[in-house]
Amino acid sequence: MTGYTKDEALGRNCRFLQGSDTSEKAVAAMRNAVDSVNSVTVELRNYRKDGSQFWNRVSISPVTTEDGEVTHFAGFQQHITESKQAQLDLERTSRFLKETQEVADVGGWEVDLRSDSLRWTKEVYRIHGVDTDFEPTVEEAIDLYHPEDRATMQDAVEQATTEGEPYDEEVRIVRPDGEVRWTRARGEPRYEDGEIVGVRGTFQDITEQKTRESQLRESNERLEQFAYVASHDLQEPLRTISNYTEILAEDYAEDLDEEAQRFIDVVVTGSERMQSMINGLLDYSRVTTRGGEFEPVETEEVIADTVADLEIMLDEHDGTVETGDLPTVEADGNQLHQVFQNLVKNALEHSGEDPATIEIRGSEEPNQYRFEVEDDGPGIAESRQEKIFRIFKSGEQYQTQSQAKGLGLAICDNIVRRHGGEIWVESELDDGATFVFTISKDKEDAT
Amino acid sequence: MSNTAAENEEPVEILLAEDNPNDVEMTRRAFDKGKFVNHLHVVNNGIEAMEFLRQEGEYADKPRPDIILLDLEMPQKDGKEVLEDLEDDPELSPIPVIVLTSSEAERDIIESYRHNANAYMTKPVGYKDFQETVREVESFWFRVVKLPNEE
Repeated sequence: MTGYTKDEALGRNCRFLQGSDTSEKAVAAMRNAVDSVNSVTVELRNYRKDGSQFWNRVSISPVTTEDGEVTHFAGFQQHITESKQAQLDLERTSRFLKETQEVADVGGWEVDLRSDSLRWTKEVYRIHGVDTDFEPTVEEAIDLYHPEDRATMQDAVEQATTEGEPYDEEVRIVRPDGEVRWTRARGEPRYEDGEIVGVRGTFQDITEQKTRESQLRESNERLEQFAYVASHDLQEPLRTISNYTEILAEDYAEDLDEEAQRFIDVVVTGSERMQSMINGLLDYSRVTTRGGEFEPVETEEVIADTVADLEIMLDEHDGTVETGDLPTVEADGNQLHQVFQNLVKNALEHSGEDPATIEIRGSEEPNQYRFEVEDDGPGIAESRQEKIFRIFKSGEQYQTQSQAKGLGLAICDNIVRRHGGEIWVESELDDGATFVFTISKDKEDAT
Repeated sequence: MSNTAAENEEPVEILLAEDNPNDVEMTRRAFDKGKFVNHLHVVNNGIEAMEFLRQEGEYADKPRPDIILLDLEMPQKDGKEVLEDLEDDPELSPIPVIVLTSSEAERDIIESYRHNANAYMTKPVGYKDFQETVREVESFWFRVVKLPNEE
């Protein structure tokens, strides 16, 4: 056990096994017991000859004669390294767990169906704002939820205990002082021999996250409202500018010299460009302010409509659209149409002189639908791939006269995000581009 | 006895009820360039329109218009209210009314026709479009349609 030979150990006080970090308290307790002729049991961290540590449980008892005279002490040492290590590990793990729970505002709880009891960790008490001597029953715990969320939790717990359905809900609780907190309650059934014997899970305070989310949503809504109002109200004065410029150009052409006429052309071009920007902004803000209902939409029909709408443009660019089997999705049909239309238009506009072949693919994945629009055009440099979806970029996009062209991809991005999805482009220069977007199946993700 | 405006060869009296000076200017210019001699009278809201039509106050010696161009969105009294008033007035209801507005809402269109509007036109955006629209109004309403004669 100690690594010392019998000869090395014999006659030495067992103190020689102790190291600098052997508990002084334990050693003192031992010395104290000896001085006062008592029994003592301590756990000591000792060191072997080779320096490795081991844990000993040391019991010392006084040995007395029949008339009570102490003749000597008898000591037992028990090697307890493994059990001690396990205990330390457990302590470290629970301390770690406790600290992590505190940091993450997350607690744990457990319902034992056999004893019909509910156990909370400290953090659950803290989140609820109640003292740790409160021992709620399952019913009492459910009553701590916000009145509007109680039924949800009742159902969730019911489903978990009877059907074994795990749950994950975002619900409100009401603290004793009336403060409402948002929490995320997750539960998993626990089985023993194939039977549900309990439910356990985590309980997390997500109030701050919820607050931030709703602030972000509000600020986005305000921004979109602003974009709508601004672009809407900008139309009228802009119309005045272009109308009177037209009057000048048409009714006063004889009175104007060549330079003045050239200036008028500049004003006309400028106001046309501004008109297309305003229209683009309006379209962009209407994605959310004027969005339609989500309904089952047959993608194949949407693409057939898109191709029909773009017939002239497809002819001009010698373009063809190829599709395979496409899924039916839950979406705003008009907006899905807009996305495909913008992506196909975008591919045609960039195809240059060469004939353009555009391939549209769609597939169903566990949580979402995935669509790909692939072209054989010039491709997009990596440095620009993210930039093209932004609403305000450098001036280059507005140099084209095509109406609101520069905002087409930003509008796609806004629509896809409204459908709880993402859009991105995979491309290399001179090797075509594939625009990929997803649509979430979970309506909760959509707005 | 009634004749088309063209046959009469008298100036066509037009009442334009419109609050937007921009639209007034373009309508005036478009009619000036038109093929028909006309007098364009302009009022800026529904109250003035009814006063003009009933020849009240400052409009006492104004002629009865041959046709009314009516903007739907006007302050104080809007185009819809003017249509309702006209409907209720047997003296004025025979005058053709063309509703000119930026609203493309179907509800507005149906409601206008229900209240005896004779035509519903979406307001043109550019000057050229205005001239186009005015030419259409002229050829249909002044040349083709027989306007009721002032008795």
